[in-house]
Amino acid sequence: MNPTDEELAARAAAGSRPAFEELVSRYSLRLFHFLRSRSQSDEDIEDLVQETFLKAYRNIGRYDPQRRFSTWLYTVAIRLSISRQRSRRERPLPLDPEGAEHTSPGPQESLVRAEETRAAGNIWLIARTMKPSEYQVLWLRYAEEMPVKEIARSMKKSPVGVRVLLHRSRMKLGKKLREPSPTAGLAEAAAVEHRLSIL
Amino acid sequence: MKCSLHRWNISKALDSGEPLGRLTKLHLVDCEACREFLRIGEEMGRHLADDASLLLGDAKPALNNRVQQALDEPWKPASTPPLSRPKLWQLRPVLAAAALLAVVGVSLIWMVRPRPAGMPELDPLLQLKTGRANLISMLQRAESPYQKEISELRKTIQSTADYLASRFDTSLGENNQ
Repeated sequence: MNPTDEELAARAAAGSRPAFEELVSRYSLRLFHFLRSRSQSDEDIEDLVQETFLKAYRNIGRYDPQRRFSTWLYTVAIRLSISRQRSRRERPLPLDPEGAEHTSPGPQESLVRAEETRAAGNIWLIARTMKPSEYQVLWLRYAEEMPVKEIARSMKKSPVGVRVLLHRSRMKLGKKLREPSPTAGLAEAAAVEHRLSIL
Repeated sequence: MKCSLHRWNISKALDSGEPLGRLTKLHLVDCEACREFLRIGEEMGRHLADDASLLLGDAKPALNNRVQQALDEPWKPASTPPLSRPKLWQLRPVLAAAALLAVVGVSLIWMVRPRPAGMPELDPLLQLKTGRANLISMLQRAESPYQKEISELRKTIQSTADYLASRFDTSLGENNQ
Protein backbone atom coordinates (compact mmCIF):
# COMPACT_ATOMS: atom_id res chain seq x y z
CA MET A 1 0.00 0.00 0.00
CA ASN A 2 1.31 3.43 -0.94
CA PRO A 3 2.14 5.75 1.92
CA THR A 4 0.01 8.89 2.20
CA ASP A 5 1.41 12.33 1.50
CA GLU A 6 1.37 13.10 5.19
CA GLU A 7 3.37 9.96 6.02
CA LEU A 8 5.92 10.81 3.34
CA ALA A 9 6.18 14.36 4.63
CA ALA A 10 6.77 13.07 8.16
CA ARG A 11 9.53 10.79 6.86
CA ALA A 12 11.04 13.67 4.89
CA ALA A 13 10.99 15.79 8.04
CA ALA A 14 12.91 13.01 9.76
CA GLY A 15 15.58 13.30 7.07
CA SER A 16 14.44 10.89 4.34
CA ARG A 17 15.36 12.31 0.97
CA PRO A 18 13.59 9.55 -1.06
CA ALA A 19 10.36 10.35 0.77
CA PHE A 20 10.59 13.96 -0.36
CA GLU A 21 11.47 12.89 -3.89
CA GLU A 22 8.29 10.84 -3.95
CA LEU A 23 6.35 13.94 -2.92
CA VAL A 24 8.05 15.86 -5.73
CA SER A 25 6.97 13.28 -8.28
CA ARG A 26 3.42 13.33 -6.92
CA TYR A 27 3.04 17.10 -6.86
CA SER A 28 5.30 18.69 -9.49
CA LEU A 29 2.79 18.43 -12.30
CA ARG A 30 -0.12 19.40 -10.06
CA LEU A 31 1.76 22.49 -8.90
CA PHE A 32 2.72 23.30 -12.46
CA HIS A 33 -0.91 23.35 -13.58
CA PHE A 34 -2.03 25.12 -10.43
CA LEU A 35 0.44 27.97 -10.94
CA ARG A 36 -0.45 28.42 -14.57
CA SER A 37 -2.11 31.72 -15.24
CA ARG A 38 -2.39 34.00 -18.19
CA SER A 39 0.43 36.32 -17.07
CA GLN A 40 3.20 33.73 -16.79
CA SER A 41 5.25 31.76 -19.26
CA ASP A 42 5.87 28.01 -18.82
CA GLU A 43 9.50 28.74 -18.00
CA ASP A 44 8.46 31.09 -15.19
CA ILE A 45 6.08 28.50 -13.82
CA GLU A 46 8.75 25.79 -13.83
CA ASP A 47 11.03 28.15 -11.91
CA LEU A 48 8.25 28.75 -9.43
CA VAL A 49 7.57 25.02 -9.00
CA GLN A 50 11.25 24.42 -8.35
CA GLU A 51 11.39 27.28 -5.87
CA THR A 52 8.31 25.96 -4.09
CA PHE A 53 9.82 22.51 -3.61
CA LEU A 54 13.14 23.95 -2.46
CA LYS A 55 11.39 26.10 0.10
CA ALA A 56 9.23 23.18 1.23
CA TYR A 57 12.31 20.94 1.54
CA ARG A 58 14.18 23.47 3.66
CA ASN A 59 11.17 24.08 5.87
CA ILE A 60 9.75 20.57 6.05
CA GLY A 61 10.46 20.58 9.78
CA ARG A 62 7.75 23.21 10.20
CA TYR A 63 5.08 21.07 8.55
CA ASP A 64 2.41 19.83 10.95
CA PRO A 65 1.59 16.18 10.01
CA GLN A 66 -1.90 16.59 11.51
CA ARG A 67 -2.83 18.74 8.52
CA ARG A 68 -3.02 17.91 4.85
CA PHE A 69 0.33 18.11 3.09
CA SER A 70 -1.26 19.48 -0.08
CA THR A 71 -2.70 22.46 1.83
CA TRP A 72 0.72 23.28 3.23
CA LEU A 73 2.47 22.90 -0.12
CA TYR A 74 -0.10 25.02 -1.95
CA THR A 75 0.21 27.70 0.72
CA VAL A 76 3.97 27.85 0.07
CA ALA A 77 3.34 28.02 -3.69
CA ILE A 78 0.74 30.79 -3.40
CA ARG A 79 2.99 32.91 -1.20
CA LEU A 80 5.92 32.55 -3.56
CA SER A 81 3.72 33.32 -6.55
CA ILE A 82 2.43 36.49 -4.89
CA SER A 83 5.89 37.68 -3.91
CA ARG A 84 7.16 37.01 -7.42
CA GLN A 85 4.30 39.04 -8.89
CA ARG A 86 5.15 41.89 -6.54
CA SER A 87 8.83 41.85 -7.42
CA ARG A 88 7.94 41.77 -11.09
CA ARG A 89 5.79 44.86 -10.63
CA GLU A 90 8.61 46.62 -8.79
CA ARG A 91 11.24 45.67 -11.38
CA PRO A 92 11.94 48.63 -13.71
CA LEU A 93 11.55 48.17 -17.44
CA PRO A 94 14.80 47.62 -19.34
CA LEU A 95 16.00 50.60 -21.31
CA ASP A 96 16.94 48.59 -24.37
CA PRO A 97 13.70 47.61 -26.14
CA GLU A 98 15.42 44.71 -27.90
CA GLY A 99 16.51 43.30 -24.58
CA ALA A 100 13.06 43.72 -23.12
CA GLU A 101 11.43 40.49 -22.05
CA HIS A 102 7.68 40.26 -22.60
CA THR A 103 6.52 38.22 -19.66
CA SER A 104 2.83 38.94 -20.14
CA PRO A 105 1.18 38.38 -23.48
CA GLY A 106 -0.24 41.25 -25.45
CA PRO A 107 -3.92 41.39 -26.46
CA GLN A 108 -3.26 39.72 -29.82
CA GLU A 109 -1.26 36.94 -28.17
CA SER A 110 -4.00 36.46 -25.58
CA LEU A 111 -6.55 36.13 -28.36
CA VAL A 112 -4.46 33.54 -30.17
CA ARG A 113 -3.97 31.64 -26.92
CA ALA A 114 -7.72 31.77 -26.23
CA GLU A 115 -8.35 30.35 -29.70
CA GLU A 116 -5.86 27.54 -29.10
CA THR A 117 -7.56 26.67 -25.85
CA ARG A 118 -10.94 26.55 -27.51
CA ALA A 119 -9.59 24.20 -30.14
CA ALA A 120 -7.94 21.99 -27.53
CA GLY A 121 -11.29 21.60 -25.83
CA ASN A 122 -10.01 21.31 -22.26
CA ILE A 123 -12.06 23.43 -19.90
CA TRP A 124 -8.95 24.32 -17.84
CA LEU A 125 -7.37 26.01 -20.82
CA ILE A 126 -10.32 28.37 -20.91
CA ALA A 127 -10.25 28.77 -17.14
CA ARG A 128 -6.62 29.86 -17.47
CA THR A 129 -7.75 33.07 -19.16
CA MET A 130 -9.46 34.13 -15.92
CA LYS A 131 -7.83 35.95 -13.00
CA PRO A 132 -5.14 33.87 -11.22
CA SER A 133 -7.16 33.74 -7.98
CA GLU A 134 -10.28 32.55 -9.85
CA TYR A 135 -8.32 29.89 -11.70
CA GLN A 136 -6.55 28.74 -8.55
CA VAL A 137 -9.71 28.46 -6.46
CA LEU A 138 -11.29 26.29 -9.16
CA TRP A 139 -8.17 24.14 -9.34
CA LEU A 140 -8.08 23.54 -5.60
CA ARG A 141 -11.81 22.76 -5.52
CA TYR A 142 -12.10 20.49 -8.56
CA ALA A 143 -8.63 19.17 -9.36
CA GLU A 144 -7.45 18.78 -5.79
CA GLU A 145 -10.96 18.18 -4.40
CA MET A 146 -10.14 20.29 -1.38
CA PRO A 147 -12.96 21.24 0.96
CA VAL A 148 -13.72 24.95 1.30
CA LYS A 149 -12.06 25.09 4.71
CA GLU A 150 -8.75 23.80 3.34
CA ILE A 151 -8.90 26.14 0.36
CA ALA A 152 -9.45 29.02 2.76
CA ARG A 153 -6.36 27.97 4.70
CA SER A 154 -4.23 27.71 1.56
CA MET A 155 -5.38 30.98 0.06
CA LYS A 156 -5.39 32.87 3.36
CA LYS A 157 -9.04 33.76 2.96
CA SER A 158 -12.16 33.24 5.04
CA PRO A 159 -14.40 30.27 4.12
CA VAL A 160 -17.12 32.73 3.09
CA GLY A 161 -14.62 34.58 0.92
CA VAL A 162 -13.70 31.30 -0.78
CA ARG A 163 -17.38 30.46 -1.38
CA VAL A 164 -17.95 33.87 -2.95
CA LEU A 165 -14.85 33.44 -5.13
CA LEU A 166 -15.97 29.96 -6.22
CA HIS A 167 -19.48 31.20 -7.01
CA ARG A 168 -18.14 34.09 -9.10
CA SER A 169 -15.51 31.96 -10.83
CA ARG A 170 -18.07 29.35 -11.88
CA MET A 171 -20.40 32.06 -13.21
CA LYS A 172 -17.54 33.69 -15.09
CA LEU A 173 -16.36 30.39 -16.55
CA GLY A 174 -19.91 29.55 -17.62
CA LYS A 175 -20.12 32.92 -19.35
CA LYS A 176 -16.76 32.36 -21.09
CA LEU A 177 -17.92 28.98 -22.35
CA ARG A 178 -21.09 30.49 -23.75
CA GLU A 179 -19.62 33.55 -25.46
CA PRO A 180 -18.85 32.96 -29.16
CA SER A 181 -15.30 33.46 -30.33
CA PRO A 182 -14.80 36.61 -32.47
CA THR A 183 -12.36 34.88 -34.83
CA ALA A 184 -13.72 31.38 -34.62
CA GLY A 185 -13.79 29.38 -37.80
CA LEU A 186 -16.48 26.88 -38.66
CA ALA A 187 -14.69 24.00 -36.93
CA GLU A 188 -14.19 26.01 -33.74
CA ALA A 189 -17.74 27.26 -33.82
CA ALA A 190 -18.83 23.66 -34.07
CA ALA A 191 -16.61 22.77 -31.10
CA VAL A 192 -18.16 25.57 -29.04
CA GLU A 193 -21.62 24.45 -30.08
CA HIS A 194 -20.75 20.94 -29.02
CA ARG A 195 -19.51 22.18 -25.64
CA LEU A 196 -22.69 24.22 -25.16
CA SER A 197 -24.80 21.22 -25.92
CA ILE A 198 -22.91 19.32 -23.21
CA LEU A 199 -23.44 22.08 -20.67
CA MET B 1 -33.13 39.29 -6.34
CA LYS B 2 -34.97 36.15 -5.27
CA CYS B 3 -33.19 34.08 -7.90
CA SER B 4 -29.73 35.41 -6.99
CA LEU B 5 -30.33 34.42 -3.38
CA HIS B 6 -31.34 30.89 -4.39
CA ARG B 7 -28.39 30.67 -6.78
CA TRP B 8 -26.07 31.54 -3.92
CA ASN B 9 -27.65 28.71 -1.93
CA ILE B 10 -27.21 26.36 -4.90
CA SER B 11 -23.57 27.36 -5.19
CA LYS B 12 -23.08 26.79 -1.47
CA ALA B 13 -24.61 23.33 -1.75
CA LEU B 14 -22.37 22.51 -4.72
CA ASP B 15 -19.28 23.41 -2.70
CA SER B 16 -20.25 21.78 0.56
CA GLY B 17 -21.95 18.72 -0.89
CA GLU B 18 -24.87 19.29 1.47
CA PRO B 19 -28.45 18.91 0.19
CA LEU B 20 -30.37 21.99 -0.95
CA GLY B 21 -32.64 23.79 1.50
CA ARG B 22 -36.42 23.27 1.40
CA LEU B 23 -37.17 26.82 0.16
CA THR B 24 -34.60 26.57 -2.64
CA LYS B 25 -36.03 23.23 -3.68
CA LEU B 26 -39.51 24.78 -3.82
CA HIS B 27 -38.14 27.67 -5.87
CA LEU B 28 -36.50 25.25 -8.33
CA VAL B 29 -39.87 23.68 -9.07
CA ASP B 30 -41.10 26.96 -10.57
CA CYS B 31 -37.87 28.56 -11.84
CA GLU B 32 -36.49 27.18 -15.07
CA ALA B 33 -33.44 29.52 -15.04
CA CYS B 34 -32.33 28.42 -11.59
CA ARG B 35 -32.79 24.75 -12.54
CA GLU B 36 -30.50 25.45 -15.48
CA PHE B 37 -28.02 27.16 -13.15
CA LEU B 38 -27.90 24.06 -10.95
CA ARG B 39 -27.52 21.73 -13.90
CA ILE B 40 -24.69 23.80 -15.42
CA GLY B 41 -22.96 24.03 -12.04
CA GLU B 42 -23.00 20.27 -11.57
CA GLU B 43 -21.96 19.63 -15.16
CA MET B 44 -19.16 22.18 -15.00
CA GLY B 45 -17.86 20.60 -11.79
CA ARG B 46 -17.73 17.19 -13.46
CA HIS B 47 -15.95 18.66 -16.52
CA LEU B 48 -13.41 20.48 -14.38
CA ALA B 49 -12.61 17.32 -12.40
CA ASP B 50 -12.39 15.11 -15.51
CA ASP B 51 -10.30 17.58 -17.51
CA ALA B 52 -7.94 18.07 -14.57
CA SER B 53 -7.24 14.35 -14.50
CA LEU B 54 -6.57 14.52 -18.25
CA LEU B 55 -4.06 17.30 -17.73
CA LEU B 56 -2.37 15.44 -14.91
CA GLY B 57 -2.09 12.34 -17.06
CA ASP B 58 0.61 13.97 -19.19
CA ALA B 59 3.77 13.39 -17.19
CA LYS B 60 6.48 16.04 -17.19
CA PRO B 61 9.66 14.14 -16.33
CA ALA B 62 11.89 17.09 -17.23
CA LEU B 63 10.29 19.15 -14.48
CA ASN B 64 10.82 16.35 -11.95
CA ASN B 65 14.47 16.01 -12.88
CA ARG B 66 14.96 19.74 -12.66
CA VAL B 67 13.56 19.85 -9.12
CA GLN B 68 15.62 16.82 -8.06
CA GLN B 69 18.78 18.48 -9.36
CA ALA B 70 17.94 21.68 -7.52
CA LEU B 71 17.55 19.67 -4.32
CA ASP B 72 21.04 18.25 -4.80
CA GLU B 73 22.63 21.67 -4.95
CA PRO B 74 24.04 22.84 -1.62
CA TRP B 75 21.86 25.48 -0.10
CA LYS B 76 23.40 28.84 0.53
CA PRO B 77 21.42 31.35 2.54
CA ALA B 78 20.80 34.53 0.66
CA SER B 79 23.43 37.05 1.57
CA THR B 80 24.44 40.42 0.29
CA PRO B 81 27.78 40.47 -1.57
CA PRO B 82 30.59 42.10 0.44
CA LEU B 83 31.28 45.66 -0.53
CA SER B 84 34.69 46.19 -2.11
CA ARG B 85 36.77 48.67 -0.14
CA PRO B 86 38.26 51.47 -2.23
CA LYS B 87 41.94 52.09 -1.67
CA LEU B 88 42.82 55.00 0.63
CA TRP B 89 44.83 56.92 -1.93
CA GLN B 90 41.78 56.98 -4.21
CA LEU B 91 39.87 58.75 -1.47
CA ARG B 92 42.43 61.51 -0.87
CA PRO B 93 40.73 64.26 -2.93
CA VAL B 94 37.40 63.41 -1.33
CA LEU B 95 38.88 63.55 2.17
CA ALA B 96 40.62 66.89 1.43
CA ALA B 97 37.38 68.39 0.12
CA ALA B 98 35.49 67.13 3.17
CA ALA B 99 38.09 68.63 5.52
CA LEU B 100 37.96 71.98 3.71
CA LEU B 101 34.19 72.03 3.87
CA ALA B 102 34.31 71.26 7.59
CA VAL B 103 36.75 74.15 8.26
CA VAL B 104 34.66 76.62 6.24
CA GLY B 105 31.51 75.49 8.01
CA VAL B 106 33.00 75.83 11.49
CA SER B 107 34.40 79.30 10.77
CA LEU B 108 31.07 80.47 9.36
CA ILE B 109 29.29 79.26 12.45
CA TRP B 110 31.91 80.99 14.63
CA MET B 111 31.42 84.28 12.82
CA VAL B 112 27.65 84.42 12.91
CA ARG B 113 27.22 82.99 16.39
CA PRO B 114 25.17 85.14 18.80
CA ARG B 115 27.51 86.93 21.24
CA PRO B 116 26.63 86.91 24.94
CA ALA B 117 26.24 90.19 26.94
CA GLY B 118 29.14 91.29 29.15
CA MET B 119 27.46 90.58 32.46
CA PRO B 120 27.02 87.01 33.52
CA GLU B 121 23.56 85.63 33.96
CA LEU B 122 22.10 86.34 37.39
CA ASP B 123 19.99 84.17 39.49
CA PRO B 124 16.33 85.13 38.74
CA LEU B 125 15.58 85.69 42.46
CA LEU B 126 18.62 87.87 42.85
CA GLN B 127 17.61 89.75 39.73
CA LEU B 128 14.23 90.40 41.31
CA LYS B 129 15.76 91.75 44.53
CA THR B 130 18.12 94.03 42.70
CA GLY B 131 15.28 95.31 40.60
CA ARG B 132 13.25 96.09 43.69
CA ALA B 133 16.14 97.96 45.33
CA ASN B 134 16.71 99.93 42.18
CA LEU B 135 13.05 100.83 42.03
CA ILE B 136 13.02 102.04 45.66
CA SER B 137 16.08 104.18 45.19
CA MET B 138 14.56 105.63 42.04
CA LEU B 139 11.38 106.41 43.94
CA GLN B 140 13.35 107.99 46.73
CA ARG B 141 15.23 110.09 44.27
CA ALA B 142 11.97 111.07 42.63
CA GLU B 143 10.34 111.95 45.98
CA SER B 144 13.28 113.87 47.59
CA PRO B 145 12.58 117.40 46.16
CA TYR B 146 8.98 117.27 47.31
CA GLN B 147 10.04 115.88 50.64
CA LYS B 148 12.37 118.79 51.20
CA GLU B 149 9.72 121.32 50.29
CA ILE B 150 7.15 119.63 52.51
CA SER B 151 9.50 119.68 55.51
CA GLU B 152 10.30 123.34 54.94
CA LEU B 153 6.63 124.12 54.60
CA ARG B 154 5.97 122.23 57.81
CA LYS B 155 8.63 124.28 59.58
CA THR B 156 7.12 127.52 58.32
CA ILE B 157 3.67 126.55 59.44
CA GLN B 158 5.03 125.51 62.81
CA SER B 159 6.79 128.81 63.36
CA THR B 160 3.73 130.74 62.22
CA ALA B 161 1.60 128.78 64.59
CA ASP B 162 4.04 129.42 67.44
CA TYR B 163 4.04 133.08 66.73
CA LEU B 164 0.29 133.31 66.61
CA ALA B 165 -0.01 131.33 69.81
CA SER B 166 2.39 133.56 71.67
CA ARG B 167 0.55 136.61 70.52
CA PHE B 168 -2.78 135.19 71.49
CA ASP B 169 -1.59 134.15 74.93
CA THR B 170 -0.36 137.66 75.64
CA SER B 171 -3.55 139.32 74.61
CA LEU B 172 -5.55 136.84 76.60
CA GLY B 173 -3.46 137.57 79.67
CA GLU B 174 -3.85 141.18 79.14
CA ASN B 175 -7.59 140.94 78.83
CA ASN B 176 -7.91 138.75 81.90
CA GLN B 177 -5.97 141.09 83.82
